[in-house]
Amino acid sequence: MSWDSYITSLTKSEWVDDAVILGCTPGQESVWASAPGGWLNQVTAAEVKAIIASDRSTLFANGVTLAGRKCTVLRDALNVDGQNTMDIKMKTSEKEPDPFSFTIGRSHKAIIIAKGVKDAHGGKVNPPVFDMTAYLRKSNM
Amino acid sequence: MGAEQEINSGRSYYIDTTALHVPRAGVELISPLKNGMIEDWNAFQAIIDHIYSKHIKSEPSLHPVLMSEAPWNSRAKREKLTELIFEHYNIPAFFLCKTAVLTAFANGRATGLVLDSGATHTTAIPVHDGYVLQQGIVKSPLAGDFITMQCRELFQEMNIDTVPPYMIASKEPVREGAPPLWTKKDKLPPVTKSWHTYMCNEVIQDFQASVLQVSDSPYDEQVAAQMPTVHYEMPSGYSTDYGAERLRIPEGLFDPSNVKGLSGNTMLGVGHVVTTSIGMCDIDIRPGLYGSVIVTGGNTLLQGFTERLNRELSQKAPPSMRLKLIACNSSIERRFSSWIGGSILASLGTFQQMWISKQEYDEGGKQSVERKCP
Repeated sequence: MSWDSYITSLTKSEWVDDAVILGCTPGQESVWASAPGGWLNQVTAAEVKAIIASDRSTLFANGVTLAGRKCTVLRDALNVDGQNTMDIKMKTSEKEPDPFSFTIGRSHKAIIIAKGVKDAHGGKVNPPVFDMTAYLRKSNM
Repeated sequence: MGAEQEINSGRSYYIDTTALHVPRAGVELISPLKNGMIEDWNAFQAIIDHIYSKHIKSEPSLHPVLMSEAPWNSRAKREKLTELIFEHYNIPAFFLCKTAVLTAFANGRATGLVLDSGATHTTAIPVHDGYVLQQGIVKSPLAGDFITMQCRELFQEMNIDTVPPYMIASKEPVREGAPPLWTKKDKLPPVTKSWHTYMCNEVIQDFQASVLQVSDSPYDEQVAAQMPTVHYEMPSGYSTDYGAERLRIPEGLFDPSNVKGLSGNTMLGVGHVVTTSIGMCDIDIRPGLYGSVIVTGGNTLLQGFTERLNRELSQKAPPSMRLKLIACNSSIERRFSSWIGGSILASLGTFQQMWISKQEYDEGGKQSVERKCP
């Protein structure tokens, strides 16, 4: 089973241009597959731990980071059964003036992160991640 | 405004402002919404049918629909609404957008703290880049209806009867403060209590809008006693001057500590509602929120409301934080800002990617609304 095919099925959407799948079980937070040319493959294990933490209260006030880039949490249903997704938006700065939308999905063993293209609405990035997360959960992954 | 009435047997509805004001026997006055969310689905459907037949005058299947929703709308209600829209009305494309986001757009911004003070609630909703940050929503029940209740108590203390215009056949001019002289219309149908209460509330709301004023600094007895008085005449003909009450009643919105009947409850004043809401958000976006506090809702049209809010926020906000209050001057814009925002949003080129089409609904089911309408 190739994780790369999961990545391509995410990036083939015209609204998604970068994606990564990482393990989320403790000790296994490594990159399983990522889209070529993107920077999501630099997401660190510490960032994954912060994203899946069971205490969600600090996430909203402090935000999360993806590969060192700060993001604001918009909608968090990562640990909610039936949803298991989280919508975030990158904070802008002089180096990165475009606020990209991201959706993070969590299955039993992995997390999937997809990045929207410039000006993509969050509602276009969420459905493919949600569908893939739901599929992986059904296959017990 | 679409409040409507129904007959208890056989459920027929009278909808729209003109139909609403006709006294009819046995007709209750209801609203299909509770707490901003749809509660009575039959009444809601009756309103939609009325809109299509009497106002839009076209088939529902020909036009995409952008609908606003309360920022705290539950997932079950959103899905039920989506199902109703696609299955019953066969609408070709649909999007559900939160009122706070639309209000921000109506004021030319995608980020800001929307302070909505309407009839039932005063709410602060942080909006960031077109998305509502739900964890930062702060609600307080101190709003228009609370003020109406306080005014009603004032009238009871002053022994003034709020007689609604529908009962009055004729009235005579009387001296100021003298008991009113009016004759009741004969042959009035036996109206229900809910309808009569609503008509009385309209009288009180007119008083509220014309006489009350928010003091621009915390209420002080001495200062209030020197306020110029305002003359107001009831529909019954009773007229008198109002002085300190003008300032005392709306003070409850900003400083609930002295309000009778609320003691023991830790209610938040309007200024605190705003600062608490911003305090629950990501630290880096707080300057953006303080720099765009968008004031909306009919209750904010009280004279002096925005000036007092500006003063409260400049005292409570962290020092060196740039504060800017945005408030439309026209009352129409403040009461219907979410509609105006929706009109702007639906015309944007970048919005066209966001619709849920009938095809997407057929493939994804009603859950698509939760995915595509954050």
